[in-house]
Amino acid sequence: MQFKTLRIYFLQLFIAVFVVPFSYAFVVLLSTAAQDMSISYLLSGYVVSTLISTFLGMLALSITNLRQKEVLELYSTYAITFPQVVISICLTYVLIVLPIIVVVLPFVLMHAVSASVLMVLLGIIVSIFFLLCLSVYLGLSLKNLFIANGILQLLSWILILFSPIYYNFETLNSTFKYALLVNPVTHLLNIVRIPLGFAPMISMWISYVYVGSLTILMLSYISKRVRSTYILEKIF
Amino acid sequence: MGDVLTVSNLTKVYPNGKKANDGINLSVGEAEIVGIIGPNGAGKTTLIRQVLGLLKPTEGQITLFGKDVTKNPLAAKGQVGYEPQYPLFFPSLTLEEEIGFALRFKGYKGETYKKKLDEIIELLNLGDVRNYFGYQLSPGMLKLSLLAVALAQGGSFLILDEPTSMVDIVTKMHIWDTLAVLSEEQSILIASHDMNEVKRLCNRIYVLVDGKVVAEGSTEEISHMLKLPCTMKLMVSDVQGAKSFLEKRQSQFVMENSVLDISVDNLNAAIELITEINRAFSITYIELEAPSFDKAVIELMSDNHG
Repeated sequence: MQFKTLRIYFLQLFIAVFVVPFSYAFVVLLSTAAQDMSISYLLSGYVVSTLISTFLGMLALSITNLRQKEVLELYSTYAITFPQVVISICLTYVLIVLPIIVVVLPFVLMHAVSASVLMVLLGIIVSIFFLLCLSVYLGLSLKNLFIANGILQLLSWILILFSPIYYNFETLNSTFKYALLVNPVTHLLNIVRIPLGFAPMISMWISYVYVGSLTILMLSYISKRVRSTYILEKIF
Repeated sequence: MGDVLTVSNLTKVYPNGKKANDGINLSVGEAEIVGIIGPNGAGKTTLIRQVLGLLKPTEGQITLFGKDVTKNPLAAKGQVGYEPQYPLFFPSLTLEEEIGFALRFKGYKGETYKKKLDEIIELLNLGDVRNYFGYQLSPGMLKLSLLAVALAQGGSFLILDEPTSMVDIVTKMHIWDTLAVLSEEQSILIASHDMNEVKRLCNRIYVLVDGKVVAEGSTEEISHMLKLPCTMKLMVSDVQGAKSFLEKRQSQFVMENSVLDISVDNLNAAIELITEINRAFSITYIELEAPSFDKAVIELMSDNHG
């Protein structure tokens, strides 16, 4: 059902899934900076930026839309619960990005200096789960659909720009490095790239703890909001 | 026969302090059509949303199919078909898909799915627009599609919030006939503004004003609750003659174009007057309602509106 409800938004989806992440990668490939980076580095960044662009740009907005009074009431005409709808939306978006990961991942592994395949997969799974939680959390927190549209686009841009997706962390000055480490996306890149043989930005386990802690906090909020059965109660 | 729905002492106060429902008691029996009628903001939709578990009651109890909905709002989820008040739609789904998903969620598959889908589409005369997307349908069609989803959702209880608003008169009559047939096996709760609708369909009616039930009973019972004049509209062959006759008789009447709108104290007086007028001036058209349900409801609403 969720796939069918998305067909009218095909162009937006195409932009979020392909155009935005690819345009960043394309700019980097054209620049001289790309010469110093490996294909594996860029493609792993491309995977993470696709996840950010799709989940924050589209999924979070779908969740905010779902919380609109009329949408909640429309779903209430079916024999499904609010958590079931949220989970089905999340699964739909995971299935949308999955083919990109499946296509890109072999190239990432092929061009890696050394690759621990299982750890790379774990890193990608953690990244998907974290970004899903972040998107659902933001989607549930933002009430106004029009404001959410602007905020979520800005936030995806900030998360992509202020993380070493397409530039080298090592060449930055120390203040900027510390600033980037606040961004959870930097840690997601760290846990994906260390098993590919790249130099750690910070210990991989610190990144796992940082991302894990944020995920637990977001999950506790999501679980509280999603399980509230009186779905129209907060609207009025 | 047992009650499908029982609402006891239900009160709903919104966070802004507005009391939308105030100590409502209501019941719907098996194979019964019950109507809730009331002006805008009377609390009809709030009541329905609490029954469906979409809003939390402040006080009181709601029992649906013997299950306490106030304790477990999802207890009866899936057993109730619901048509919302507004023409809501999924812009990307065709009408057939919208109904189809409701059927699939209920477990319909293969041939039984196709059969049920066609049956619902045919029942509501939606065949011509079955492949139209939500954004391509008129508000009336959207209301019909929501009714179709409610029927697909099925169960033995339908809750319909203004089921025929925005629908043309021919379709409206068709829906009324359909609901009348469905009511042989299903219980139906209808919230409506349309007095003709509740008069025609409902076994019992609750008049809701400012969140309170101000009257309850059958159409006849509500009509007799207040002593109201009997009104009739007449057209005669000799309108000027009839006018002079009524003036001489000092009857209460208004003449609009060639229609005489006459009020008399009771039904017997009305029959006597009709006989006299018909004998002298030949009645060509007559419209009589005694006692008038519409007037009784309007009177009840105005008397109780704070």
